[in-house]
Amino acid sequence: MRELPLLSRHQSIVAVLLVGGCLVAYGCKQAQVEKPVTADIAQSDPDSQLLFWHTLAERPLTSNDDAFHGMLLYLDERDDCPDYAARVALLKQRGLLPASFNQPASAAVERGTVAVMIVKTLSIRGGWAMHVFGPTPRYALRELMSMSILPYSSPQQIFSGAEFVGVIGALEDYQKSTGGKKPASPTTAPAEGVSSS
Amino acid sequence: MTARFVRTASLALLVAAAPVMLPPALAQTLPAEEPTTAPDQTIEALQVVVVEVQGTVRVRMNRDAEWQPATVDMILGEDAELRTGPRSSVTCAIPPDQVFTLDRLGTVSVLEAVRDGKTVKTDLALKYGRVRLDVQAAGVEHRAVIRSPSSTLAVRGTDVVLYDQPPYKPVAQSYTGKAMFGYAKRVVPVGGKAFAQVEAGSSGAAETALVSSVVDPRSGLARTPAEQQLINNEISRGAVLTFDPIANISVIRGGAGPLPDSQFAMNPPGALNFFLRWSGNADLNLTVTFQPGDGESILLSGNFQPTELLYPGYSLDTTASGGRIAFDHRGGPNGGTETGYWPSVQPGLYGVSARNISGDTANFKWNVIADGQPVTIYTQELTKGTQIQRSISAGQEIVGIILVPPSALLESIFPDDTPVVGSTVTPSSIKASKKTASNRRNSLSKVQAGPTLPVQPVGPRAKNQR
Repeated sequence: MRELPLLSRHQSIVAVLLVGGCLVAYGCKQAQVEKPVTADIAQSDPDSQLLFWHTLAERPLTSNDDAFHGMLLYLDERDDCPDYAARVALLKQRGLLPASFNQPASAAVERGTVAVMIVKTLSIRGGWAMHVFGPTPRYALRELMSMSILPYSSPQQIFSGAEFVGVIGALEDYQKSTGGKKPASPTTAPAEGVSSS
Repeated sequence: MTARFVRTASLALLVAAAPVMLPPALAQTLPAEEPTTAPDQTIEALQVVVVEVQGTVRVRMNRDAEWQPATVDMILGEDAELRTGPRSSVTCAIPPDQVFTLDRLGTVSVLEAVRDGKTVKTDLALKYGRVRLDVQAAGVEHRAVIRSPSSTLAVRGTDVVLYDQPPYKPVAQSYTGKAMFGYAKRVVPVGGKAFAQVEAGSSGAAETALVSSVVDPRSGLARTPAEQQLINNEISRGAVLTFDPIANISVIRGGAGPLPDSQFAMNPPGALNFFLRWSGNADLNLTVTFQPGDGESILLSGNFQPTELLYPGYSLDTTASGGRIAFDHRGGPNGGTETGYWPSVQPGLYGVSARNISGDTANFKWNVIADGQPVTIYTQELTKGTQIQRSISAGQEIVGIILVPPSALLESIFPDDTPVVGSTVTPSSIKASKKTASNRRNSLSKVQAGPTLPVQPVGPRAKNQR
């Protein structure tokens, strides 16, 4: 087998700088979902809800819009928000999303974002880190990992559609096992003029 | 034969039970497209009958049909597909003796449901979600398989659950009987005489249990001497101590069973103690509620408003006035004991409840000891006694009340209690979840509707929790 030529020290340094430069320039760009499920299925009737869940389960990625629509369907059994901006505003109003959240609808939802929503939904106080730093994505995720609601993950990791549906199922299992009641007040679309970012 | 939903090659080891001729159930005789049996044998397609629907459930007769709402008594056949939404489930019966339940957010297809001579063949394809299959083994040979994208569960006449849902590892549970769990070209047995759970990738139920076990994260210094004594007493008699991170309480399993009447109160952990002792293979839970004040006045006013609740787990195992339950005894073949206690005798009205969380019918005894003296318990049958004995079946709850200090008036009114005990040996079987549904299906005398799936979550387990 032909041996590859060794790089000189100078060439090695240049190669490393080029690779590093590419990473810096392009970054770890957030994955995008070309067409969220909510583009076609966003109604609240039972058939549409079922179609939404099982269509999402077959998608390779879960977008922010899909995840927030799904959370509202799970929490309130309906989602009257007309668009993504309204969902974000409503979730911020309910404290499930931080006020600084400003990701686009088509971006793939991060596990840390979902973890914070679940922790706040379940009113989990967590350990000392969550008491000190609050339910940040990192510690919310770690808390859910220790409770076996989420598998080992990192906050920036994303969900496939089937994985997000599975997490919602695990959330339901947890609430059932603890005798949790249905949380949250019914969804209402935010009043006009409410900022979405 | 129509197309089947199988993505991976998996092994399904099947063991035939003793075959016994049975009269044909509700079935239609269909001509076999591929004759694989002897000329005198007939392949009968079995019907799948929907017996229970909860929440949003849709069904379609085949892949080309439209989805329609599932209703009770709907009859399905091979290639039928069911799917559920959140907080939903559907239970179907396959005569003569099989029941399967699809839990929330899942999709399952019936690949095969036939009687081939003396063998009943059932093949379910779980696309994702969780399905429970119960097969009554007695009397007929069964070949039942549940397939999922990454695992296979071959059922040998038992009660099993298969959970396969990303991003979690597939998990197989067996409540009774033995099944074979195939995962990534590996097959491990699941179950036997007792409950067992195997997570995909492990070598068996023992490894799964070991990986799932956790060390009580609370400091040993957090236990009072009384709690430690209670736990040590159980462990010294063969019980196993673990910790439930969800319920956040120490869990005791197994052991030699409850102490006899002559010994249980020799070293009570507190000044006021509520003892629940039971025999029988069941998990009973003790609950104590408390309203301080004059117990007699509270009771006669009919306005019992407990301000404290003592329950084994979920941060309810301690109360503001010092009430504690040291552990949740989850039973074993010899029964168990749970004790709620207060460090001081607090006057008021107490409510006590025994609930059979799971398992067989059990006989239990209530005792309340205050400052070393037995306290009268009043039962829901309006009797009284310092020791109450009852028989309690799975899912049942029995309650009583206690007044501290005792009330002479009530003691003079209520008659003495008569112990009510029964046999603690009952066959583990699926009970009808709805009486109306079971009454409608009197003709399916060998079929029983399946229960809802277990309350305990199945599936996601963090690695390396020690």
